[in-house]
Amino acid sequence: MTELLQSFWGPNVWRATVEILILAVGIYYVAVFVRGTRGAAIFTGFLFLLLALALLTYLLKLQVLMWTIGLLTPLSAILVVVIFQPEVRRMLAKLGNLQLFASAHEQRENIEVIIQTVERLADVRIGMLLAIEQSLNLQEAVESGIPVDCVATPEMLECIFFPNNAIHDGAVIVKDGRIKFAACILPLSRRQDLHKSLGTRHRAALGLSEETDAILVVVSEETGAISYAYKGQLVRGVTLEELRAFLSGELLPAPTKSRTPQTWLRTLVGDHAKPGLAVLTRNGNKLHETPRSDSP
Amino acid sequence: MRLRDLILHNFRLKMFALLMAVLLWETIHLATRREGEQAPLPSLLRTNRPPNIP
Repeated sequence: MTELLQSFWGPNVWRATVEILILAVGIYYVAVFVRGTRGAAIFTGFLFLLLALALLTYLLKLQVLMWTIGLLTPLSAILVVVIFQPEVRRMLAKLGNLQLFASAHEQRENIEVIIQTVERLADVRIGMLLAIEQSLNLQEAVESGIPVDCVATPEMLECIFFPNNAIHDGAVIVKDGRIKFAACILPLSRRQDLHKSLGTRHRAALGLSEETDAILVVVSEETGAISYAYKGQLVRGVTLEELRAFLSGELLPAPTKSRTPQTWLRTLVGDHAKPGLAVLTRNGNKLHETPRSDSP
Repeated sequence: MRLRDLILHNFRLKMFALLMAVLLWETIHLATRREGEQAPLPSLLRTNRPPNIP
């Protein structure tokens, strides 16, 4: 076996094995990173085209084309940065986010404020779009907003979202227990596979969640249904308990003992975006994929 | 169980990554070996003298 490997890899079989294993780990994590992103199709297509072209030029010995590909390959790194700009930004932000200042107790209080607000507004069917800012500053993502800067309380949030109020339309941005902005216009999702019944509020929630690491909570004006959007995925029809569990899971600092290098790498690379359809509907304990707009 | 998960979780993707790594390594290895064979000897090593036979 060693002789067979030596015939392929030369005398340093172990060195070659280590190099291949390191390369494989790198390729695996890049594949995991790419798989859940919006640019996955573009990236796969581009890679496939490049590989096919390289193989063709190698087999037909097309020297000029081979030289051109060799010249263009380093430039493709810029292309990758452009395609995956939101993901790279989110990943870098996560790297710098140490969660030193927000204690678990404060975060629990903030979560309760949101839960109480959602409960009240869902009961009386008042529409709500609330963005919880995390490591990325949302001011770049919002086109216009009215600075508020006050302590977030259920009463205050209810006041803001009350119909016919001057700042009731648009989203409210909350960070560290404070309402930063109100009446913010968020970017709408450009995904093509969204159901026609999805309103502007939900599309805006999905849009911002695709661009940033913010958590968005939505209350439907028509049905009073509660939804949340995170990392490019909207989960509709959740209960208050489910929302509380989700917010606690995402906002409360993780226990120190679970922070192994593997989990750290997974949170950084693997779990940052979810593949598949953008909208899921919760029915009991199960999540159902919402059918595409072209289906009956 | 954890070791099993480490290997079997996303098994297809891991196998694909390994295959790609082997292909990539082999391509680069072949290219560098070919370059090494084609490269001329440095001038300091070149000599017109016959080999020193004792």
